[in-house]
Amino acid sequence: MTDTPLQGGVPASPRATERPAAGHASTNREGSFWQEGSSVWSWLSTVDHKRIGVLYAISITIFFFLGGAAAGLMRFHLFTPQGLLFGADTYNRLMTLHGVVMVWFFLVPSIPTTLGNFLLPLMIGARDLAFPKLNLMSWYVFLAGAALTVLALLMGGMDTGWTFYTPFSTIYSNSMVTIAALGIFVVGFSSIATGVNFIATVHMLRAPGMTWFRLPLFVWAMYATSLVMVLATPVLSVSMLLLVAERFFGMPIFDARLGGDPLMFQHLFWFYSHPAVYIMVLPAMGVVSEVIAVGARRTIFGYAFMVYAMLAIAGVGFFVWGHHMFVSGQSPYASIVFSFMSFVVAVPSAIKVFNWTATLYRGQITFAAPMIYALGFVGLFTIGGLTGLMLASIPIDVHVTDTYFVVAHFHYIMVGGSVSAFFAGLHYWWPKITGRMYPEGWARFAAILLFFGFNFTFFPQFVMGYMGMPRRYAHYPSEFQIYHVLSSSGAMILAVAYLLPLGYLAWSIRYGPHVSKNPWGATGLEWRTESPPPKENFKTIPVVDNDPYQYHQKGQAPQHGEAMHRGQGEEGGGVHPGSQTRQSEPA
Amino acid sequence: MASPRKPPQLYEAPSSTVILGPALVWVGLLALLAANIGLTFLPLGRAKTAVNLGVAIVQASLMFAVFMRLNRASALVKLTAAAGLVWLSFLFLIGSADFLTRPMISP
Amino acid sequence: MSQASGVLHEPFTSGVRQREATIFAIWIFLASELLLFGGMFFAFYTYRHAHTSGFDGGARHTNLLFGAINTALLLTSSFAMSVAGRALEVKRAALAEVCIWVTLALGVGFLGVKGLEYVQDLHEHLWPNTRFDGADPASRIFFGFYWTMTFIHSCHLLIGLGFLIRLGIMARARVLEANSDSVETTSLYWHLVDVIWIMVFTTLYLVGK
Ligand code: HEM
Ligand SMILES: [Cu+2]
Repeated sequence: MTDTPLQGGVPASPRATERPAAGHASTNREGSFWQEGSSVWSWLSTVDHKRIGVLYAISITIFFFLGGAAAGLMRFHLFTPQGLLFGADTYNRLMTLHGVVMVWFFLVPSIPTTLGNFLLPLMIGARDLAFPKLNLMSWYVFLAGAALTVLALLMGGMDTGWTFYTPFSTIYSNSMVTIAALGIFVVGFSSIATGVNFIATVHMLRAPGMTWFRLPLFVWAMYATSLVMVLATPVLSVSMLLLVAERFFGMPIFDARLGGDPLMFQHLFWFYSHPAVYIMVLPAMGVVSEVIAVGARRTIFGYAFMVYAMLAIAGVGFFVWGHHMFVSGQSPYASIVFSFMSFVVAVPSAIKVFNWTATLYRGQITFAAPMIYALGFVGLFTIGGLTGLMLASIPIDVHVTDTYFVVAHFHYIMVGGSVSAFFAGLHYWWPKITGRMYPEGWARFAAILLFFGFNFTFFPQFVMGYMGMPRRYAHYPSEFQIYHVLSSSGAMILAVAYLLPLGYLAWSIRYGPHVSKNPWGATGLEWRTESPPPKENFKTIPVVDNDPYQYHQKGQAPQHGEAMHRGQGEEGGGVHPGSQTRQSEPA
Repeated sequence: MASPRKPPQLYEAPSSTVILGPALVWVGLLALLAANIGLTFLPLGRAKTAVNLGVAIVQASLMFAVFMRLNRASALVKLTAAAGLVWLSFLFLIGSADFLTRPMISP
Repeated sequence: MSQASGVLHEPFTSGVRQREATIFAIWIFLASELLLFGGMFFAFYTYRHAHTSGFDGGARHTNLLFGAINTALLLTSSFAMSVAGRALEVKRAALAEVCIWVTLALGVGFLGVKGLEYVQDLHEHLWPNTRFDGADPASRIFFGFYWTMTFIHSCHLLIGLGFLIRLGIMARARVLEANSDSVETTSLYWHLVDVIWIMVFTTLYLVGK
């Protein structure tokens, strides 16, 4: 590639190197996958993985804002000890709606079905996923499950919490549990289909030279996630089926009055639902690995360990589910095993945090918006993980079970971690997906606002949880009010931070400046094709002859002045391995 | 691909085994079914469950190996099938850690 | 003749590779099905361990004759299905077609027998509600599993029948060979449903008798 002269060594202001926006006439979307038919039917019948990714993105965005609206209402309600808006029953229903929607209809599918669908074939140099029709089918199955669940919501919703514990869900609850459970059952098959497709694709369709240990970490993350999806989701399906069998057909499977065991439901449920948190966080780890490497212009530190760590998380994650049941009456011997395994599973996560940090070391770091989100992920994930260790130790968990401490913990992982990473990835690949750059200033502002709003919302919950504020209550003793007010105020900030991207990203689809193939100067095959990519992804299938993340020469740190900035790869499309030898201007 | 792969297995078979091979297995499966039913009425005591299930597992293995052709499948496919069973064993083993030791605490 | 797919679909460029990927993918799905049923078996055997006499009391009420006939039907159908796949490979399309219809017929037969059995069960008050006929409450749980497991298995069988009908139509239209991938996947699915039945049968009809 031709050397783009770098400006004076300092990470140039991103705007400096942008081509001026070319109005709204989209010139470089010509010939891209966006142009392959614009009728509604051409979208609804598409088997192009990129378009399916877009379809999924639209669907889960709707659910994100549905779940978010419920959260906002709850938080607003909790400004005062008596509650501002509704009674306990409505609160329970909103809480359940929020949990169910956020988990199964937003976070589990979020990164895999959008960024994963879009990028996986691009990253391995394939023309599509192995089974394009299956991919489309998975979206329709998702819609079917979503329709059932929305139907349940419209008919009055559920009040069991997203965990559907028996016997409340089977015998006592007077809400739409059956339909919702069927919706979750159905949506599970969409997950499984995606998992099958991804695994087969990674095994079968890698481009020539793309060996396993040359795969970008995002691909590894998708692979590990898919393994968990395929092996865990069926057990959720069966727990939902047994639930329906008991509730609707009167099969006394968990009925303690006859000798059944409600804990059996919890075991089956958590056999899925703990690994499910890794379904939610492994993709995030993949995104963050990509973004941090490019944002620091550094080769990933300990690539192989990153891979092993993800596989270890995917595997060991199956042995810890009982840490959700420490106070349920499960055998204390089992609890000890689960507690121990939970400590074990933290090790690979810690390795990853260590490696991200080490990747930053001596890097040329630029705080572009994706990088801010990604660094936010690392910090919040670390807090979430450490409090997770606290919860894994039985004595502490007995104290804080079912308090806001737990709520804060899992929101740090799921919202602070995964959703931040999702936004990091969305911004980072936005130019690839749309061919346009988002407005950097707004994006940085939103990213920082998100970080503060998030901590503002959820940190007080650690404190009040530790002091004994139980979760899932519509009213609370007034001594906790200060924390609730803090948390609810933070939630309002957070809401703004989530709404902002919706606005400016939508704006940029039409008005954002055009970008070249490789605006970040990143490695990776997805940057070697047009932005946005043509329907067949690559004119000719690329041949891979180098390891990933070659941002600088082995054994050296990137030169001062090589920081990422937009417009870097303007002509040639990417920093090719050879180009690292170029002389960069002295600062 | 990076290195040229071994071509997948050829199932090429003389046409006699089109029927004969599966037929033998079929006869075996039916014989095992008869045996398993017979065993049910023998006074085997506590071993009976294990015996019944053992026969069923032999039947299932035959199906897996011959009808589903795991015997000639690629290593990858064998691994996949094994993974299903191994993960199932996780559910059984770790799940039982609770159910089997709970009576030791509260009889 | 090597095992290659009949017709290539995007994004594959090699029939051998496509076949390999198809078989691999369907096996991943089957592994996942194994876990779906496995969850029920786990629950069953855990409960049985705790309530052995109640469960075995329940098992004595299941109808061994119907169960055995059905097992034989499914084993035979698997045999036919397996012949269908192999016949297609050696280009004996007519034999393949016959076998597909035989498989289908046996599957329908299974559902018929199952239906008769259900009727009889209902007649004997084996639906586990309050009119349930059995002294030990755990027997009621046993029948909770009986209905759930057999019903979910039948649903799988029904789906398998759908796929078989599709194959049958293809065979009629003489396009089966082009769709050999479908033959392969359908038959793997069908066999798995039969394997599961073997376990269901042993669990509900044999171990407790
Ligand atoms: C992807 C994003 C999110 C996910 C996956 C998520 C997940 C969950 C889950 C699983 C629950 C438990 C529900 C239950 O107990 O049944 C929950 C509760 C809750 N979440 Fe979220 N959540 C997300 C975002 C948010 C946000 C942004 C807020 C605040 C603005 C929030 C506020 C709450 C509140 C107030 C509760 C109820 C706590 C309680 O009463 O126990 N959540 N969330
Ligand atoms: Cu967990």
